[in-house]
Amino acid sequence: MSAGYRAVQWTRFKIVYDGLLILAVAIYIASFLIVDSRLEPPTDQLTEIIIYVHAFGSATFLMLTAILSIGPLSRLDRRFLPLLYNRRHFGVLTFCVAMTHVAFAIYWFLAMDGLPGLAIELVNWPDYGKFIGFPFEALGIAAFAILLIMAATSHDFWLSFLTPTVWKALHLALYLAYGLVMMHVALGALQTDRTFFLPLLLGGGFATVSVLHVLAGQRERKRDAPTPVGRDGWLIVGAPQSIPDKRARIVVARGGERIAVFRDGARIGALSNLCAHQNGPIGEGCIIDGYVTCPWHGYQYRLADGCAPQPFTDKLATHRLRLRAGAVEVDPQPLPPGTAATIEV
Amino acid sequence: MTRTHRMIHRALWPALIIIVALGFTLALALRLPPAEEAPPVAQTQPSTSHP
Repeated sequence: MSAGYRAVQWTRFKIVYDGLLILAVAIYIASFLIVDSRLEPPTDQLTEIIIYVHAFGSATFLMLTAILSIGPLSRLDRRFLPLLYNRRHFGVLTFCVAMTHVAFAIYWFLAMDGLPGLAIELVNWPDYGKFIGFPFEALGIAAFAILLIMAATSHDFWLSFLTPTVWKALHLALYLAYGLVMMHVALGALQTDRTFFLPLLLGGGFATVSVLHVLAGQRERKRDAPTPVGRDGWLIVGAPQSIPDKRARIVVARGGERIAVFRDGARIGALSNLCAHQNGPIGEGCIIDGYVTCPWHGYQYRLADGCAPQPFTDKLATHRLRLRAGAVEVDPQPLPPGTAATIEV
Repeated sequence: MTRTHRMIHRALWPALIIIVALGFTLALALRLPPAEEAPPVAQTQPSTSHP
């Protein structure tokens, strides 16, 4: 967590995560280079460079596929949550691999003295009206620009500066980048490559990400169903014992944001379900050492008033609670962040 | 995630799936047949096929 923002704090988990990532990428690229060179031995320097272009390009696509799968996977199964924890490092590494792909592509053009030809191709406007023959390099350049912006704004400084809502909206552009990469390959390498590898890689990767997002979306839609309300509009949560100890039940007002109602022994408190860090789902976390802990990155808040422990300054909105006819009820109108509002049952 | 963010997700994905799946299928279906085998040339000739 942060007091404003601070330099990256390395933990053993982050080091292991990054180490495994770099190892996996290195193994994939080395395997690709070896297998491709054996199947189709390079005849000259240009074909050798092309193998590197394809190795780093396909690695970028696979990494984007994995990154986009982590979100829905962790919504569908909590065991994937540790992958989410360090996803930004994964993203920056993907940008580095994409940058190497771009560097080898430029090297290829330089080696055949083709950069002026590329520039002419990119400004040959009638080609933009074609489907087969569309300047696919332009799609790759656009995708790379998005990855560059996302990598440059991945630090917590930008998250704090832009606010979590704007930052998350900006980072939705990754979907656009993924679509651009798909079409960059489909209108580029796929037009000349006659092996089964490329269509399988593209089709399989895209189908996987799509199915996961649709499944996770359906599940979230069910969770957004409004909670029953009493006559005065308060949301009926249920009996105190229906809230698991140290955990939460999530309730939703019609058209409103989710509210996490936590129970810590005999004490019950209601917080906004949006973590102040990245709008993570607080209610899917648990109470650790007396603090409500976000499942995404471990940000912590006091149940009593939604304030982060000192010296941190983050605060969550709280909600008024009451016990009526043996059921806990919560006011859908939030209190100002940091307002104490718990009840004993 | 905020409610708006989830709604954008749910609207964006089906649209992206349809557009990209259509584009990918068309790119696969409309690709030109492979060029006929060129007569053997000197091995020193550099390859100029696009990366």
